[in-house]
Amino acid sequence: MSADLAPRKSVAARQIAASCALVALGALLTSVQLDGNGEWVGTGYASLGVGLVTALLTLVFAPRGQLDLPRDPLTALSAVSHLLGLAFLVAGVLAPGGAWMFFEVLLLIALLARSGERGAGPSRGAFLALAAMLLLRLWITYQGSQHRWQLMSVDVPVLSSLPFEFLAPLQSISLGAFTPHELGFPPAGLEFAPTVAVWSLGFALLVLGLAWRARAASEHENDRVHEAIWELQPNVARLVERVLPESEWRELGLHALSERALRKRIEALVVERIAARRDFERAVRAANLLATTNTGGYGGEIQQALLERNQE
Amino acid sequence: MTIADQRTDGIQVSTAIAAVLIFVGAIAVRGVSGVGPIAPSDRERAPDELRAPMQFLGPGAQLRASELTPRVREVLRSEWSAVQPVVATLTGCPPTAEWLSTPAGQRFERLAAELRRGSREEALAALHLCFELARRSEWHPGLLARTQHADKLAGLLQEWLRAWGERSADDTLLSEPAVAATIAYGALMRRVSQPLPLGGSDEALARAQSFLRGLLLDSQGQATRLSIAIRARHPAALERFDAKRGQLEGFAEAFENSWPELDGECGE
Repeated sequence: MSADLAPRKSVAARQIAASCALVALGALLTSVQLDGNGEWVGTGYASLGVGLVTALLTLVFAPRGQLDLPRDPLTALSAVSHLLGLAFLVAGVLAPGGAWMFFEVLLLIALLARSGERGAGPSRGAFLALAAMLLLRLWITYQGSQHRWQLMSVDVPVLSSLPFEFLAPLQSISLGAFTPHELGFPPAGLEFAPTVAVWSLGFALLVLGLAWRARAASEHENDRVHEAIWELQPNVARLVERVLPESEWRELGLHALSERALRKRIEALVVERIAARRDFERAVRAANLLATTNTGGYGGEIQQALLERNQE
Repeated sequence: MTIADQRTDGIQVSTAIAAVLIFVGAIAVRGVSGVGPIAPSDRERAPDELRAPMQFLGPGAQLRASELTPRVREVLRSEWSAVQPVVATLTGCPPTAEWLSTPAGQRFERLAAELRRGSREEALAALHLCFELARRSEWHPGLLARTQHADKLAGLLQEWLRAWGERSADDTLLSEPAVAATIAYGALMRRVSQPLPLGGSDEALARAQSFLRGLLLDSQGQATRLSIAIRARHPAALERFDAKRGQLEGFAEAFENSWPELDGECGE
């Protein structure tokens, strides 16, 4: 291995550690809320449990080859951070309870599992869905902070304009009613503004941390593949890297393999690609490509005669 | 391995350990449950602080009025000692606005204004005077919809709330009296804005709503401490405050339930 590779690996490893710390900080911020007594209290384990199940199902439905298998303490931390980060992220955006929450869970499992197929962490679509769910949660929390225990109230035309008290129950329709208990508000009530600021910051840190971790983990895996290739003679290693370009390593399934499996996979891919290239060159050489441009007739006959002369 | 590499590895390990510790903290903190709201009146008080301040606003307020005398500034003490018994022994149920325009009433107003500018105990004394006046003068609009008396009394409470409403919400002495003053103000303004079952004064309602919004909501539209205290003491009072009609009904109902003797007709 060339000497200039060591610092590169260290940078990727350091980035994994830093991104995991960022994910953890985001998790901490989404786990607290400021209550009416001015004290920081927790947001409870129920939503975290649902988030953890969602994260696990996401991993179960993701293709096996794309999972980050831990091989050392750092990659173990990376894998755990990925799982916990997803769990805290989902827990932080879920609607407080009821049918909506389960609909959201199903949607998130589908989106996160699909984005996991690409192996680069949650996709932009998944993040957008998570952000939309966070906004819904913040809106519900705002409504609760105003002691309006519903998603919205729609006035009934005509009836709502009549000035009769006895019509009050019929003048508007409540959509998405909920209770303070469902919202998980602390007993002393919720300080809306600081809590929402902390949750939003936590969400942003989790999203950034997870995206950064995915990039750093990919870089870390690329470093491993690079290291394995550069165990060969430098000239051979350069040739192998031309046959197997770095941009294709993840798609070729070189990430998340054990040391032995990685080397066997590289070997198989090199043999396969060189054989394919040789077959292609042979086929090109054997093929009479100029014949495809022959239009026949007077000019075509002359062209064919010259071609056969050259081949002799 | 060079020193720089060792330092890099050290940073990496420290960051990883920090991440683990923060994760553990994030999981642990989720289980921290809060306690119920702690009312200011339940907090520890100074040894010499007046106990049960709501008694100074209740039917037997005159029995404890003398306790306020030593807590009034010396320059106001003689005036207090002269005016307080006059209000406490007011007879004949005079209309509020008319009595306030008499020499005794003017003296009362001047004293109430001076007390509002003073200490917490003096603020309580000022509120005591307002409630005594509400108890012994006539401010019910009646069939002729004479709202000026209730409006005048509400004006006195509004001035008190403007001076003390926000800062008294966390005060061990004044938190409950401030809640009472707000409920009384809302109930009085409900009388002013709708003295009869049909019709009413939109201007008075808008004035009351504007003042109460400033008192009960902060700059971000969130409930103030006073609003939270009101909701804790009188949950129904604010239920309809944001409705299209009957915004002050909750205040009126809470006021009638808590102070049935304050009916605007001296309990007659």
